[in-house]
Amino acid sequence: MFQNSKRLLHTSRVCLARKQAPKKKAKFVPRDKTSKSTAEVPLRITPPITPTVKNFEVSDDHPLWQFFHEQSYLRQFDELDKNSRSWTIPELRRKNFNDLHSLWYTCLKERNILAREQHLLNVDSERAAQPYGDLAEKVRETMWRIRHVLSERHHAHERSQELLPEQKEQILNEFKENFLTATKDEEVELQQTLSRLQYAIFGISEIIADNIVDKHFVEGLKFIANLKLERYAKDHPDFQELTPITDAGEAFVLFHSEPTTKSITESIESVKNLRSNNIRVDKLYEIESVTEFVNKLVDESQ
Amino acid sequence: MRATQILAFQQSPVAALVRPWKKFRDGTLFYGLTKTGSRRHPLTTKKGNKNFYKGTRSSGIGRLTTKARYVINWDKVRTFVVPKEYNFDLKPLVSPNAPQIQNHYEGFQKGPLDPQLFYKKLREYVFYGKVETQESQLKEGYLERG
Amino acid sequence: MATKFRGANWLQKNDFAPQIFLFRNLETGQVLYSQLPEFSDYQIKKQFQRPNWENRRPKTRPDIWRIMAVANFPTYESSIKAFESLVHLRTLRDVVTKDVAMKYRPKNEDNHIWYSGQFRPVYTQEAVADLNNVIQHIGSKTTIFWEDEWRKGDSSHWKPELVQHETMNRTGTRIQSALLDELRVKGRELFQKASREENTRKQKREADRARKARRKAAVQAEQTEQPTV
Repeated sequence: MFQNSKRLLHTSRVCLARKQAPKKKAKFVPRDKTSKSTAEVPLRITPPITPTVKNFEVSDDHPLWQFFHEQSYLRQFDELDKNSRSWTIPELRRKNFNDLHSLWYTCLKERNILAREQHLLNVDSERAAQPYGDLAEKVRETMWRIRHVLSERHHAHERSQELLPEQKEQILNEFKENFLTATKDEEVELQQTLSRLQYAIFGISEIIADNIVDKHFVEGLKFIANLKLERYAKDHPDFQELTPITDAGEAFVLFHSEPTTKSITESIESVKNLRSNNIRVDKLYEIESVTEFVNKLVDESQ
Repeated sequence: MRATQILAFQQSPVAALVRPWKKFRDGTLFYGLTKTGSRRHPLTTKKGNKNFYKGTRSSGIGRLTTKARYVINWDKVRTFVVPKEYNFDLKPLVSPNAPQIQNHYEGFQKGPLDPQLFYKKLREYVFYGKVETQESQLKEGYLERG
Repeated sequence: MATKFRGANWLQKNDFAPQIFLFRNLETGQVLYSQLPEFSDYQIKKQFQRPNWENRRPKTRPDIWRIMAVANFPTYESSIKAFESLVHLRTLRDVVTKDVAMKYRPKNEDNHIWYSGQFRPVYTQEAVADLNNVIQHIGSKTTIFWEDEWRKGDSSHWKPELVQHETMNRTGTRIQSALLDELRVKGRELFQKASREENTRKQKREADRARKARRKAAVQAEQTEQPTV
């Protein structure tokens, strides 16, 4: 009857009201008497716990130590090296590439340290951070000078390429004359000169594994093979027949042999052996073949 | 209508740069600092005002894909090569008491870049090694051939 | 999931462990407590009730919240009690007894809480102190997995019989959700192990009690029998 009527009197609401099931009374749970600590430690505000570095160990060779000067947080103002000057260009010109590279890297690390310290002090006052910035500026000066010297070398090398053919011939001729006329007492010095020449002109390093074989390498191989043959085996009966050596494989055998008459004579035998068996290196595949020989040598030495 | 013709409807070319749909009016131009002066130079990061994106000096090592992912090109990422044989003896600064060497290039017209000097040094290296010659040694007054 | 308070039954049914996750805000140093390995606006509203310029209500940006610690409790009831206590302590610090909390906070020269940019380190340190206080208050054995050993502070603060400190294994898990899920599984295992131990202990206790009762009955029977002989 009430459900159909649209407008309801206030009193009728009571009849329509949905009845809720009476709430179940919560079961009484006796307090756990075993946990006494609740009474002992009340919930209250305690002072904050600050983190400590004592909780872990840092090894001395941790890479991040590279950003700290002797593992100190901040250098004092008097600890800074304020009097020293940057490297000058003439001083840097005396250094080789490896030294310059090392110095550049050391400078970079030093600047990292200084930048860190400067950043720390900048928060308080820029004036306090000034000396660190000045020092970093000096180090930066060393760095650009290193780059200047390296670019100077690069440009000098590029400009010299025009004169390379004639200069190379001159130097090689001069060297050949010295090499062939030297006495036996100068043998040790002569070998050192030879190794310097092969490195400077043909890029052949004494350490076999460092070499990259290219056309200059092969050219140097042949030149040195002929040179050795002429010095140590001039009196050999087959000298006229063998010279000049043009095959890369034969040149490699001679190049690799010890600089003594005995060793060279043995090498001549193997070269003759190669010729009799008609084993030759194709002119087109010289570089590949020589690379193989070099790799074989490297494997053997290992 | 070509895009350039739109400029003809504006009071001035600069007015085309003002964006009427923007709510903030702080009196600055859309980009650039002044309306006056030469307008024939391209806008660069040095010339733009606050609306001009000036970069963060940190990009340029990759590209954005169409789905807004940044793909890093590792060939462009800065790397630091450690020296093969690290010489730890060299320090970044030199003592103030160390004498300063002066270089001279007598006979070499182009100074340190002279090809003749290059071959002279090459010859010295091949024939004498690290031993100083008459020419390359340090002379009085800290003069040295460069 | 973390949009409202979750009871012990719900947690157990949905494969969650009796854990509390403490997230640290990288920008401000504020800490958020959560029962689940995630959080929502609900936690922020409940735990930052009086925001002001020094203690702003933080955003839910997932990139600025980093997990700081995960506390593992032996039972679901204790974890819920701990969670409520932590939130209560936060209310004490921010609202009820703010003056006491302010006493412990380091100040700068303007007599404000020390800060650098938006960062106030004291909030994180307070959360660590509160966690310690709550564990002592509940008095049950807890395992805490820390993001780093540095943050737990001096070992003299913690009671070694109550707390076991461990460090999260962060190798190989770069995504935080994966790390948290790993920790959840680990917490579940810890709980199961603890409940198994508790069960065996209970059985032993009951067996002891039964044996005692039997002995008592036997003695009584003997006593009643004796006069008849």
